[in-house]
Amino acid sequence: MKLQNRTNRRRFVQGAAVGAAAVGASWLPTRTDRIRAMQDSFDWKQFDGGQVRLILNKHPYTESLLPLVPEFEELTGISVPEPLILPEAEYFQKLLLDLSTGAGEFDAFMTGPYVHWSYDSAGWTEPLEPFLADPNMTSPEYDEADIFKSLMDANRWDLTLGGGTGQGSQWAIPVMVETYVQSFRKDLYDEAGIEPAVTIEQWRENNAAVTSGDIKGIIVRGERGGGMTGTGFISSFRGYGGVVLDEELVCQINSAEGVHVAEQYCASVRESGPEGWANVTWYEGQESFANGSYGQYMDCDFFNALYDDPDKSAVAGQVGFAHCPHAEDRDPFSSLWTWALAMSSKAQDKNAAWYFLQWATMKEQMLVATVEGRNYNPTRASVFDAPEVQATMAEWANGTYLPVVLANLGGFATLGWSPQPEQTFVSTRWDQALQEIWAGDDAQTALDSAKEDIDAHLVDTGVRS
Amino acid sequence: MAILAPPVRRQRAMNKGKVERDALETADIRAGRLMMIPALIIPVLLAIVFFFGFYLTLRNRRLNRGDLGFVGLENYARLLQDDKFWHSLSLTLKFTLTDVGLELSLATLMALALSQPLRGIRIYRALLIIPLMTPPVVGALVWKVLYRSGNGGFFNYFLWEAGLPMQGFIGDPSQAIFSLVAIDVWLYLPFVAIILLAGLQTLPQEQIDAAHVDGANGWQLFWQIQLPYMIPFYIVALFFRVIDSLNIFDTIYGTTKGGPGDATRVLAVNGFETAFPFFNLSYGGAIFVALWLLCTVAGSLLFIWVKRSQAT
Repeated sequence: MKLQNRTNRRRFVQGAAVGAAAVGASWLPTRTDRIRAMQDSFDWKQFDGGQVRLILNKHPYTESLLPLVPEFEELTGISVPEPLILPEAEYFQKLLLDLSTGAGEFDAFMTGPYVHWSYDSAGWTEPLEPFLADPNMTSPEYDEADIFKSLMDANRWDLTLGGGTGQGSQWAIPVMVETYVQSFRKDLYDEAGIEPAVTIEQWRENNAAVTSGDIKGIIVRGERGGGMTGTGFISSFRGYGGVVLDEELVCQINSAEGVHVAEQYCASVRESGPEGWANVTWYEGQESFANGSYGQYMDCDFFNALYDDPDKSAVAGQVGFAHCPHAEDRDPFSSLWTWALAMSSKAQDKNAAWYFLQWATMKEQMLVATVEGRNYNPTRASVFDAPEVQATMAEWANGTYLPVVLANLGGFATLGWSPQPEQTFVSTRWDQALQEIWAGDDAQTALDSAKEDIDAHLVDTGVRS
Repeated sequence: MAILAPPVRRQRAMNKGKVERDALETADIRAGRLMMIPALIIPVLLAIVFFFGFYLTLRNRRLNRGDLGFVGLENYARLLQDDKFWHSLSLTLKFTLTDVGLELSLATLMALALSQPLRGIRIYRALLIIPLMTPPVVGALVWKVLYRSGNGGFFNYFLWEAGLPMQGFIGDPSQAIFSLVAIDVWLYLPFVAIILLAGLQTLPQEQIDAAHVDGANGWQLFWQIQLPYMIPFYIVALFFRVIDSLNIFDTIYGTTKGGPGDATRVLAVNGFETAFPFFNLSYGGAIFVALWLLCTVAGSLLFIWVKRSQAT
């Protein structure tokens, strides 16, 4: 009964926050006002009659962008045929085929740092800094400096293998950012009298302590090639001082830290996680945590938009946030990922494609996408700090969302991987090793074998000698 | 004249008929030749694709780095020393043997049941082909949901309700390949059963009646009368299913992507992953050539078996 009252109270507070956000949304400039204001300062009709063909991942950002596209067409006179939208795995395959064969079926697409490293070095992506620097092509209202520098830098690379991010060409413009956290069931933790873990050992103990009856302690991604090492796991691995590739691009996933974290992580998932872990996708993890089956999901911060939605989640108002486990003598670490918009080097009409990229990443559009389309976390400081956005995020995860995410974005979060074009092989092979450890293989042996394969692959592909 | 006229007219008519027949025959021949064109073009196109694919395996072509030059048979030499290739090959054979073995056994029982004159059997036969109309990747995705972990999964829900331990299915390395076999059996069992049912229905009723009169029991009837008749049908079913199972890709890529670990990384998945996500088009192509060779050997062995069974 007490829990029920508490839940109702929380739901009321959240409802009020959502209401406040909705009121905020009503204060947003209307579509007509936005178009008029933008037309005043820049010639958006310069490429009237052009066309931009898009391929997009099925993602909350896409959902937030699509309703705004007619506004772009009205503002610029550039048409946007029905975009091709595919689930993530199929999306990346289709995009890879288009880019690698030079078919040029799409002009602009969604990507992110680890993925576009392969594209950049192959010459498949168009450098964007010439457009950004050209006053005839970029509106004076664009305000590039308003986009978080660390996120712009994550999508900038000078093609140096193993380094050079934040330098060289701007390959994509970030539109949303995710960092990685422990999202835990505060009610279960309180009941068990435990605090969110700092170390990986405590994390394992917590997961075991929460496991009882129908509830299991932990769910994390487990699907090979589905980002399983790239979110919570790599954040903990780096939080213990591990590096995936050293400065010479030699694989170090089998270091003492790597073995220690992998052993604890896999043992905990085996003891307190789902039976068929190797099949768990990010969306299954998100959904299972939201329906109350697990005590914790260590993954993306912005998934909280679902957790705290009382209409869709059984755990609304019961979630807390904490940093991913890390060594006691080190700061927390979070890897990060930005979904970003990029242009194909084979784009038919590069000017029209740039206009789309520019328009989609401007303050006005990002604010509407965030407030009305729930595109969290926005990548512009002005949008992140907007009262409507702050009001929503301040309520999330019992007030723990903002402090943890701000601390991540303020310094704990950085790219977890070294830039090089064979990233898919490295992460997939590491995924495989973790699945083997979870299935009972010795951690040192599995990671040694993965390291050997990764090193051989990097030599074979000329990434290092 | 009047008397002579008919033979002349007949002759004329016959001549006219011959001309028409000749014209028709010529038209038929022309039409036949025209219709042969696709039959000639398709093998040529297939040969072009195959030889281009094979040519790619003799080069070092990387999707993200372009063509790095001619390497001869290097990719094939590497294949022979690649433990992962041998692992994939052994998994492919394990999958095929289990899959085809189960399908043939269950389809035999199903065909025998379907051949009984039971009420409503025609409706049941019609319902049976539903899995056949399902695209394999869609079937795989549906089964992926059924196999989900925790009590949110269909099978695990019933296990949980019954107080039995929940299972990992495709997420458990020891169960994954067999869980995938179950999906493939669900998809193709009706196909095999329909072929075998056709075999059963060609058996003359008199022979069955004669066997009954001679006092043959059910097992003797099946073993000594029905089975020999069905051998050619078994061979047809085997031919399709062996080749198809060796090439299995969509069911696996739609569910496990080759995992857990590399527990379901069969040859087609290995080849695809090497060629596309890992960018090595030439080495991936070499894996596919090996798979083609395997299918050709299997197909040839079955063909020899057909010839021998026809001879005996």
